[in-house]
Amino acid sequence: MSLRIAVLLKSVPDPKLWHRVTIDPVTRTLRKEGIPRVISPLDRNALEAAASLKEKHGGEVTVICMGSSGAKENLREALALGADRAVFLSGGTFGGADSLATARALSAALQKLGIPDLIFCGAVSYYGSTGQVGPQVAQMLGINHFSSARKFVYDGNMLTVESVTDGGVLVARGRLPLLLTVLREANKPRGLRLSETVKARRKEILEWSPADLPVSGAQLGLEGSGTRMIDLLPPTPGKDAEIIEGEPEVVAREILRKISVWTCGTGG
Amino acid sequence: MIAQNNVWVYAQETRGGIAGVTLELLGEGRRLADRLSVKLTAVLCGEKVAGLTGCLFAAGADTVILVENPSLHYYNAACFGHCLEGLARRYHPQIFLFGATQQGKDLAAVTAARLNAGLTAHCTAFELDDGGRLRQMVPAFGGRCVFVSTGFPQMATVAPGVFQRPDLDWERRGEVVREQFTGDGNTAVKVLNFLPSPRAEKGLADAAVIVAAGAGVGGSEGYALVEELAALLNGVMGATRPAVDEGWALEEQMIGQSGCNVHPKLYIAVGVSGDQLHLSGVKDPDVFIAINKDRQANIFRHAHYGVIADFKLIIPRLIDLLKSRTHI
Repeated sequence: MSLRIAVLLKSVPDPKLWHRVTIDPVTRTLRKEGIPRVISPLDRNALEAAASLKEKHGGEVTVICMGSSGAKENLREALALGADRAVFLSGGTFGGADSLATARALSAALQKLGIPDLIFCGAVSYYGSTGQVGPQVAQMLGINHFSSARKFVYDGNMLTVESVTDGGVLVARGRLPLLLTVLREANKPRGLRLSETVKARRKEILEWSPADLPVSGAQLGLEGSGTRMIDLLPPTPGKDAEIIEGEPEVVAREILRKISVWTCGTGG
Repeated sequence: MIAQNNVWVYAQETRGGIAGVTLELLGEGRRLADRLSVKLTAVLCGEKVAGLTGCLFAAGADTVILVENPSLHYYNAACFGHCLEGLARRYHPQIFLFGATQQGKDLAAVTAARLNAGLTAHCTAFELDDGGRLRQMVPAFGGRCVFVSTGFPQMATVAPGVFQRPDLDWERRGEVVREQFTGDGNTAVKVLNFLPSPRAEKGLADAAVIVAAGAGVGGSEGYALVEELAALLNGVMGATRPAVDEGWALEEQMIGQSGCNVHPKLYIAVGVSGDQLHLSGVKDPDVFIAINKDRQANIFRHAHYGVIADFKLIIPRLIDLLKSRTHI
């Protein structure tokens, strides 16, 4: 059986540059201009999971992303990393969505495509880190899911999954369709290859607006969100540290004096 | 019959007991319920869990809604989600809190989707406004976001360690309301096995001494050096997001908003820049020392003592001194 696989991808400000994100104390909004957008790191593992399954069992990988215009570059990259086509949900009332409204948009897009056999996404995104969207999409589509998968095996019929949960690992088997949120341990994402990058330029990116989806616009974006951010409080200034200076030996001895309460019982 | 508009806490069973975070949430839930003059309800689902209700009352619950069924032996999103959705539709809680454990995060998301309710993740404080609406505080980029829900129930997840565990009062009694599980079970998914974590985790959450490594340790060699210091101090090793991303540290060692919340007595941060996502997870250490060669690092605005130097010069000296104990 050839597999129809979807990957849910989130575009996030590059986590390596997060220290440049600040809160504007006047407008009380986040300032993140000029920070390049990248594929949320664990979504790369989701993409790799999909691409390697396709290579083994045959099928097609569709990557879906909701985001602002900058995210299109990330979709193009996903097409070079194993996806066959992309769906870009952008514009209009998609903006300002919380996890609930995001899950509605993504599940409506999946419904329009026809529910795939397998859906992958990262266990958490690197911006909100909520981990909510994957399980919520599964609920809205009425399919089963496993969160935080570290390993999975597909035998052509059933999927066996190891998912990391509280105090251990749950090993379970499920029939398709299934949604999996994947951890970093699940695989090692491939790097970009020039030949694939060239091929990706010819692949299709479908662009859908809210009107293209089988869901009311009032269910999407800010209006459809179940939560609302009503304030963003700027940082309270911290008190500067007392600086310990000098030669390493002097500094080390001074540190030990500060922490002597905890070192009395150690060593020997 | 239970009144509507109560404050609910999802009671998670772990290894035959109640998860610590559930007790912490009952403490906070008690405060909210008293302010709102409503009851505090714990919702407990499982196969044979009736024996755990006493602990929930001791932590502050007025009522426990108990659902027992063999389909609820292992956590399974479909069955547990079905269960909580049915209960919430029947009893209309105004607030529904979940611990941000693996299970709690998943179940909260699933239940919120089924109820079409908003869900705020990683809350570190709650306030009630004049109208009794729940203000949900989430740390972000040095400041705090304030969220409200647009409908009911107002749902939120809270990481372990954010709220204090209440003193347990074993004399407290309450009402147990038994509800039937009405689902069919989930036949499309079958649990084959549960593999408990092999090592008894020396938990970050309870550690008195924590040494944390950040991006500035530069590699697994630097990380190992910091680890040696942690071991000599009988401490537990923590890490920041970049150190986990680089593969030097494990996911469960991550301290901060999407990792663990810690409240050590001594906290030593090595090569940690100190963004708020990390610092929000470190609660009031008695002594907080930062070692970082970047004078501008935000960590120096939060630590008690700062060492502006290459850790590779300082830590080996510390290790030598601790080993020889000539400093005493």
